[in-house]
Amino acid sequence: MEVGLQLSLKCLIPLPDGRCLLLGRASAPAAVGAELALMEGDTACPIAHGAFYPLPAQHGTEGSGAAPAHGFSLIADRVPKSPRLVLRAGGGSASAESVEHIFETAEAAGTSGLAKLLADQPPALGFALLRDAGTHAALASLMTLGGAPLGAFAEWMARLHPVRGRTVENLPGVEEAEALHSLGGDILVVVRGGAAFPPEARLELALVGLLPGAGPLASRAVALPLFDGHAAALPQALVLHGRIDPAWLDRLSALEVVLQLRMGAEEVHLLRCRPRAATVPDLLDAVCRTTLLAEAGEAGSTEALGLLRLLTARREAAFEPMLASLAAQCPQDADAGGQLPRIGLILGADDPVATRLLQVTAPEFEGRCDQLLILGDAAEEVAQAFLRRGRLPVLVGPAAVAALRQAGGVAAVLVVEAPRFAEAVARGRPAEAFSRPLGAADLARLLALHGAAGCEPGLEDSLVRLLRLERHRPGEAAFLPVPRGWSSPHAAELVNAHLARLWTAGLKTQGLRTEGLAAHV
Amino acid sequence: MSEARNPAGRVCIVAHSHPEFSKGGGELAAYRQFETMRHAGRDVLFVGACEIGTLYAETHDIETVMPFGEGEYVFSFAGMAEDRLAWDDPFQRGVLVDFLAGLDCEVYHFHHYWRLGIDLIDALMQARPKARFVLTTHEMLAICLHHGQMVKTRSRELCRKESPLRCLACFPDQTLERFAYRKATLLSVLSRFDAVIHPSEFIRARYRDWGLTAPHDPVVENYLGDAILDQPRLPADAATMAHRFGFFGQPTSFKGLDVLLRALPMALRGNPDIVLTVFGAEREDVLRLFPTLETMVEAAGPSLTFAGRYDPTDAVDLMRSVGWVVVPSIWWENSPVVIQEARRAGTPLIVSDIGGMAEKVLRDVDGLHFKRAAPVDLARVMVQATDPELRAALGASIRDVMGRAEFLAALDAATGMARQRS
Repeated sequence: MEVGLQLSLKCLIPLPDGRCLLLGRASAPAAVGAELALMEGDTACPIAHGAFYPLPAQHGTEGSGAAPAHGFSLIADRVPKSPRLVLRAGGGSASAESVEHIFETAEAAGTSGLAKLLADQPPALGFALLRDAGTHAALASLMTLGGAPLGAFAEWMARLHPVRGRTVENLPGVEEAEALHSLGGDILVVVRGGAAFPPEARLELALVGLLPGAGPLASRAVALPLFDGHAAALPQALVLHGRIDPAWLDRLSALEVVLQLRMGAEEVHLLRCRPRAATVPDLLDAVCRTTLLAEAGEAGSTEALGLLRLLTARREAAFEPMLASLAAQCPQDADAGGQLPRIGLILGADDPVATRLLQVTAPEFEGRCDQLLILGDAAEEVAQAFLRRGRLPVLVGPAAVAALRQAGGVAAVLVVEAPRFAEAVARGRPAEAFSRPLGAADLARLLALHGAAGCEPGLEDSLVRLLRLERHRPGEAAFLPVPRGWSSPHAAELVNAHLARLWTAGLKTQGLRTEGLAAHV
Repeated sequence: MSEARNPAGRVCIVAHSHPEFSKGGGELAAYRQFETMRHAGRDVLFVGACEIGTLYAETHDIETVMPFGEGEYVFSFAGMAEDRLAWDDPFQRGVLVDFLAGLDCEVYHFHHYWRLGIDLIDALMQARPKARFVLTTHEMLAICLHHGQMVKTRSRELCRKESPLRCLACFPDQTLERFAYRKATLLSVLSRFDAVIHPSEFIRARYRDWGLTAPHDPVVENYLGDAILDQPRLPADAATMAHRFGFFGQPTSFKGLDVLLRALPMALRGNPDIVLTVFGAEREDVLRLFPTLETMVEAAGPSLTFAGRYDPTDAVDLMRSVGWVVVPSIWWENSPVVIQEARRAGTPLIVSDIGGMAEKVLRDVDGLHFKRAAPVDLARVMVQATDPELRAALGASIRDVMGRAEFLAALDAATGMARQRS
């Protein structure tokens, strides 16, 4: 063995698909390229996946001047007999043949062995495996080992420090950990400190989702890949933004984030929290938010606004082409519904006073629609105006939203905003309040806009904004700023402008006014 | 129905009250129309809202609709919403709609929509699609949430145009959407009437400005009734009557009695012979409403008399006992019955220079005008009015009100019955 090269093989775990996982520790002098090879006799065993993670000094080689230690995980395409691991670096090599733990079967590893091993190892090992399980199918199988919902990670995760709400307790220097996800698949984590973090502080995350099964015990955990991730350090916060496939959000019953907060070479903390569902403006504004105890004016610092600009630019690069393409498929003068059945959709039925109007104008809807959906705080009461007459099937609330989502291709949707309907009736032209029949392409665009740039949790707001785009006139604002309590007017301006660009993606910009949006603070 | 069917068609007058239970100008006009048509041999029914029955319904079971004399019915509106513009209880509404539809009338003539329900009118229109629907307006409740007065809530300034933002200034606890819903609901149903009869040009212009332009909308004066018109119109002694002034009506905050009482001391300085009699209220009633006027009332001494409540059938006689009838309302008014009664009595009027008052009292023909809500100007005009020559001239020129034949013809033309009768 060459001086400075050290190698040890901690365990070998057969995986259900015939591959195997090897965990170990290696150290080599810094600035020297190193590679690992797995040998079975004289034959190299193909390695499908390998990952290194730094280890604190006490877990590596002790003593001053020692080569830095790294843990590693390898996935080999098959389970080798008499495996021999070789580390080559700087013209030298080291090898390891003895394995501290060899599990005969995957199940044996999953039930207790691997869990115990993970628990005894530096937390970075478990974190690295969990994170990589999101991108590597062979590692993903660890999530199901032993039949427990979190598989081999069950015990390891149970020991992690949970964050309730935003507040982080018993972790000096860290006050808050805020995790959010949007309908469009954004994941944003902000860890806020009471003082500046050290320059070398880093934030990483791994995502775990729970897929519901037929019963409580049939739930299955999956590690989710994060893509387009971007981490940044602000004066008193660490921020990480990325995205997951939004389709996951419809399937999962729960989503968890495991945060690895590396404060320095020797200090690593792991936190576990559940991201809160947030609108896009709420999520992006979190970049500029501060802790409750922060000095006034710290929100929206130059650094935070700079990061916000970067993240919004990345989002636009990701979403704009898709939104523009969808917009191009929705000509505003088309009868997108063709001969399909017509679904009437009343939006903004928030005030019971609207019931009187809809009662005396019910024939306007009965003559145009085959079914009626009603959304709004007073939808139940408004529905009575139609149900009492018994001439139109009516759905309200979640059932109405579900029917709207399923309408694409099977029905055309005629949308009516209740307040605008009142204005049209007062003008003596109620027909003007009905939108053109919206078809499958319109609904696809609506759902995409709601995910990428939705300003309220409910689909209604996005539909109202879409209709506003359709009827806008030159000089009018195509996008109305989001009325909410912003962290700072500067953040409001940036986010509103970003949202406006997404909402108008693919539209002819002549006459569309989206710039200079006033911030509603 | 016991009445024989008239070939010209049965008419049902549906009113917001029965004058047996309240004596407002609207219900009196509705009932006088009923009596006049019946005396003319028309097949006519009267259905009026009943406050007594409604109060009783709060604690006891009561039929929604009850007979109240030959061809007359009253109904409880206990199932209505608080604003009395729609029904909270669809069952009771349905009972009333079924009853009205079952009367099998060719014409449903509504007096007002308050206490009747815009939803009830809509339902009856659907139940009787071939009937003709006529409405007589009595104030501007559809346009203005402030009791239909079009007077601003916080300043008592006059309001000249409705819009959601203007209305929000008067009712800041409401929402823009609510004003839009309210207007659309009312306008939607009112526009479906075949005819809307306005008792004044003024109120017709207000409803047209508001958007009610679809129905035929003639101006037809409310009819004062055969009994009053049968009374002789006697000339008065101008020299005796010129300094006697009378106020007739309820001392509500919109009727402007406070303006008149503030004007009285100033007018007395101009002519100490002036006397004012307040008909319709006792001294205590007035001071309860306007406590700050107590000093002025005391100072007026024998120049001011409170005559208490009076029977509407005595109004014309009582008006002959004064030289001038003062109508100092601070709201627009529509077609005040007090003005009609004074004209019938031959007693000239002094009125605020706005709305239905200015329209119905031609200046220097039927009386005099003063600046609305201005006691100084009213005092000036009262002093001017004590001139016996002026009183005599206006007593001679004041016009009488619409006669019976003219009213029935105008009504037939408005309701479309004229075509059927010819």
